[in-house]
Amino acid sequence: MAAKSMTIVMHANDLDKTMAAFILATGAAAKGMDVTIFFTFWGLMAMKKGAADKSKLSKFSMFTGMMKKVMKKNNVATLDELIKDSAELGVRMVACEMTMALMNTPKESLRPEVTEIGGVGTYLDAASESNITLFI
Amino acid sequence: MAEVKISTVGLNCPKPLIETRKAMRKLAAGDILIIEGDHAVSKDEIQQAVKDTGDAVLGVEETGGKWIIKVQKGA
Repeated sequence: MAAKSMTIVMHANDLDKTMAAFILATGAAAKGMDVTIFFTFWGLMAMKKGAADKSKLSKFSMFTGMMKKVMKKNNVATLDELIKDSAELGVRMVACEMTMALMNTPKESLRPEVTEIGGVGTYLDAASESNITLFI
Repeated sequence: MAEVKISTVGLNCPKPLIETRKAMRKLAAGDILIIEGDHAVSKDEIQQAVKDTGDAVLGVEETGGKWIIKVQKGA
């Protein structure tokens, strides 16, 4: 039997890292797990409206366009698609309230898939009940 | 009792898993889902995921790199 719950802190907004976070989130949700992603700092910037298509690789960022073409050729889902799939599979997406204030990121500027706002306590409550926790 | 077919042919990880789960969520207990695909790793991963969610694998067929998995939604 698979683990029942996974919590991810998404701190990065690089394409390779956000893709990893959402591939893990959708995969876990597909296995029936309860998944929570807590978006903090640069990770919250990745959840701003329109940000998914502008995301760059963490290394060799000048090759981001080339990597996207290779991904498309290999029928790999886009980040935008994975975020939508996560929402459809019931992944809970929480925005870090402090980051919203620090980076002047009101709720309206975030994607509609981010339905909750919380703090470190929200993350810890979810993580303490999770079998898997990751910081990306 | 409904029977639904989906194709994941050509899709890469983790889309076959995602599309399977999306389709399963729309079904009622006892309904059948038939998943067609050609992503090798997903053939085994879908079967495990279906067991994890308390649903049943009824059968698997494979011919020339393409596979068909038949599953039934649990109660």
